[in-house]
Amino acid sequence: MKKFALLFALVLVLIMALPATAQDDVDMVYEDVDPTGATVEFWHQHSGAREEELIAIVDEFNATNEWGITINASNQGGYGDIFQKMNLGLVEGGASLPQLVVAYQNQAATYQLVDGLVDMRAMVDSPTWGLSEEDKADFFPGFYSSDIFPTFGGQRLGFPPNRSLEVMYYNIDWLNELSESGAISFEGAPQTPEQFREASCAAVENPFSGATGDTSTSVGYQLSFDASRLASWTFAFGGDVFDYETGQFTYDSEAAVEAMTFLQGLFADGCATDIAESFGDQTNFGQGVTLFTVGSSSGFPFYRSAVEDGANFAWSVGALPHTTEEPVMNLYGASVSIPRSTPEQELAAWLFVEFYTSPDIQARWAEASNYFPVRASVADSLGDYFAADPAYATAFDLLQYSAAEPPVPGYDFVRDEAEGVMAAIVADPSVDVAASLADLTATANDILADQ
Amino acid sequence: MANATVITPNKDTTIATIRKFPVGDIVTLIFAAVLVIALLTATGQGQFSTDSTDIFAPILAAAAVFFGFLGAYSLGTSTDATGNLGRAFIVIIALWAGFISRNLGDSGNLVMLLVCAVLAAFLLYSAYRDQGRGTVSTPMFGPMNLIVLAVLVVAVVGVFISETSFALDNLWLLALVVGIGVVIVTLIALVRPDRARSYSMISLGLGTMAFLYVANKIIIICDVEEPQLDRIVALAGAAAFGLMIQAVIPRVVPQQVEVPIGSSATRSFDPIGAIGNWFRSITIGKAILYAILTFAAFISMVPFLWMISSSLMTLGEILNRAVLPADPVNGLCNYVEAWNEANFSRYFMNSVIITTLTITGLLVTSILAAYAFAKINFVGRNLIFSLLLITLMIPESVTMIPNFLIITGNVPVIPSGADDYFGIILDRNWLDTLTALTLPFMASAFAIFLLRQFFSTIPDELWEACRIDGGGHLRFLIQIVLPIARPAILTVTLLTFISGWNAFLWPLIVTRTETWRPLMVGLYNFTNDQGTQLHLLMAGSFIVILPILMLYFATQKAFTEGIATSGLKG
Repeated sequence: MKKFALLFALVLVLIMALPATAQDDVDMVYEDVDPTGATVEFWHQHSGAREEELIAIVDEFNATNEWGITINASNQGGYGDIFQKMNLGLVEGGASLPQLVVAYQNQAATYQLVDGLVDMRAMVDSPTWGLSEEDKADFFPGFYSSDIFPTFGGQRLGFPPNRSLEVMYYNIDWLNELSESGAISFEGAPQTPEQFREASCAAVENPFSGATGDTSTSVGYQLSFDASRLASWTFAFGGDVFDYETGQFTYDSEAAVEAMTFLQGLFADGCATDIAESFGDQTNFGQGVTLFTVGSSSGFPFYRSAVEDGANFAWSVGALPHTTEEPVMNLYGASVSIPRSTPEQELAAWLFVEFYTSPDIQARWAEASNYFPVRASVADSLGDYFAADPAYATAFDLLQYSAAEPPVPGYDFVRDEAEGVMAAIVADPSVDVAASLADLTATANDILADQ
Repeated sequence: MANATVITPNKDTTIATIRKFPVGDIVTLIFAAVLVIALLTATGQGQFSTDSTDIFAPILAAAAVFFGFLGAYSLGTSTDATGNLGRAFIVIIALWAGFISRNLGDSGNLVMLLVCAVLAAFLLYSAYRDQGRGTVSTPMFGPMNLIVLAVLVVAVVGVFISETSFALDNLWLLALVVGIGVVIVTLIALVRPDRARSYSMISLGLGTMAFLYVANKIIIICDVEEPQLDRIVALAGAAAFGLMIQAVIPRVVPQQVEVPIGSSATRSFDPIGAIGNWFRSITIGKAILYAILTFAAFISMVPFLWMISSSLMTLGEILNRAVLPADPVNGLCNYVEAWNEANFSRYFMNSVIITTLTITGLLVTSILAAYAFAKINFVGRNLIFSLLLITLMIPESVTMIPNFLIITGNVPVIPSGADDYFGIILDRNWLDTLTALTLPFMASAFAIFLLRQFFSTIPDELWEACRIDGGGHLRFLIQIVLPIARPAILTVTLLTFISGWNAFLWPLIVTRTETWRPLMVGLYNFTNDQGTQLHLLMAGSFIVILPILMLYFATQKAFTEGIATSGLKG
């Protein structure tokens, strides 16, 4: 709540500062700009092994780029912390801001309320500095277009260096046991919501034989209350939480209501529970007392640790059970955006982004970070990695079915509202799902209108 | 001290306690200061290595010998207590020198032998001197001296056992001696509580040795590429810091006083009898109460114990809710990994500097303001005090933006220190500086309130007496109010330390580089959006809270008193 209040206050101040700081939207032409010797501060959220690899990539760029550009990459906290620092910097006038920053799409949209970011089209499409058509075609289309903002006249406010996918983690051995004992009527991972329900409820009555945790707590699915989960299930039921034509949230869509009703039913039947502790679903999954969880593919290392030191079973990931013909997977991930500075620094920042998203570097980055690369050709370099990590390979194959959450300003606040509504719906079977989601939609659109 | 002058009180005089700052302590302070400087240098730069070609190794070994002789000087000039202090300290120096010089080959062994021989000789000599003075000092072959000598003997023998170098591998002998020594010292302290202080010095020395041993083991087990001398120096510096604290605490010089026949002062202490009496005093009601309190204490300690246990586990063990680590010895490597990964070498010193500066500034402003509100009548005093209290109700999230604008120079309240001594400039930017991290917290309405409450309880008659003696407010504050208000000041110090030490959001916002980032920001490195490296986070957390625990234990009594007397309890 405290964090919410601070963020809200920041955005309010940003909006108040709008008339004073907004600039004319003039496309910068970088053809004649010379980035030689420019220095770029790069704010990111990576830590541990990811940060080490990122620093190695930065060092390589610094040592090899022909312009003598220097990138200084530094961890500035988590996504939320960086968002706060960026907002404070924009309020302050921009002098303390970096020249390259990690930002989710909705965060970038917030920065752009005060014209804080560079429209990267002038760089990406530049004959001198931009990408070739072949290069552009190499990017996954959904990734490439995810930072283009219709609400800002089609501006490109970011560029994707990596992405994650919301996947379903499942215990292969337990599913096999359920199938062999006749507790479920299908083999393998569930493909439809009904199969998911069948397996989830069967798991309660038929605990995993290899479980190391308390089998009396065995459950089919553990849900964390998160707006991304809500979006993922809505996608799986064939809908969306945002209408891009009207520019309005659609949490009250038929698919969203069906999805939440489905989850409410799972909870009411005792086949699903919520997560009592942070990342508790990873723990319970590792101990073999939770059959399914849904989470980011970048959580592979944590799941792997939990399983290897836990019940040590065979596990994998797959698409969320869906009512659509093909899966629809929630794809997310922060991009990198270029705050306004000098033309030389802006161009230097782009040249690093270009390097960062080149195929060879992407292959290195994907292996070190467990994120997905943004270029299809990188798959050729990841053969060994796919072999060593079949779950990653499986998830990689799902990238083609991706959809994204709305890249609109104020989505951070909407997310908080969505989490509350999710919790209320599954906590009480008598709660009217449609009415709750209608209220959420109204609130979300009010927040959007306030931006 | 045997020759202390005995003051006989009469109707016009009274007995005063003389607190002396012995010469030996000053020498000890110098030792400690040098080691603390070494600590600061080493942890700040991290540039030492134990490579035999490293110039620092022979320099430090030579320095250890030099300080050994200085320590011997302190033995010859000190009182009994400081003599013990010196002895304990010298043992540390000897081990330190040994560790440093172990990579010097044969010459290092010679250095070690020389140091140990000289120290042993002076140890015996000083004990002989004390005995000759007829003081209450330790006998030449008393248990304390025997323990110290045993350690030295083991150190010397270690040189011969290892043949080619001062044998760290044989330091398990030291650990054995440490274990036995600590038990003996504890028992002696129980039997002779009047000498507990001296024995605590020995315990400190032995503890340091144990620390060095464990550090060495960690280096070996965790396969640290190169033994990090900066960390060993840090350990020695930490020990020196402890010694410095001991040294600056004023102590009563031993003196002969007249007491009535049969006074309890002449009776020997009977610990077994005392424990028996305590057991006999326990009623059923008390037993139940103690059982409940013990249970409550255990429950309150569970999170802390869980943190320690988790810090020795693998990530998988924690994720699977293990209670105890399967391999706690390898679990020690989590501390090394946490220290390295979170850049604690730098962040630790940053936190120390930031917290120290903040506390100093806050005490100056708060004491002056609280005194004014409590003891000086001026127009609008209560109104201003009320306004001050209102600021306590303003949440941090509201003040953050104005504070940020101020420290970035966007609000013209920051005076220029360099560009214009008399002006106010608009473009002053304190981002990423120590100023931004400390200045905003050098005034606190809560601290002023707490101190004001305490100052208000001091009788006005004291102020009137001070006025009669010609004293003003400043003299009254410094000489009378502050000594009385020690518990409240220590409470403010502790609370400020905790808040400064634990600060996260503000330091993260106003720093752009690692230069001045504190520990808490380092801890954040173990968390990302998809999970937390709990084992490293717990190891890092233990490192972070250790200073808070130590400070709390050191000020526990005053802290409780300060809270109780300033109306904040409950």
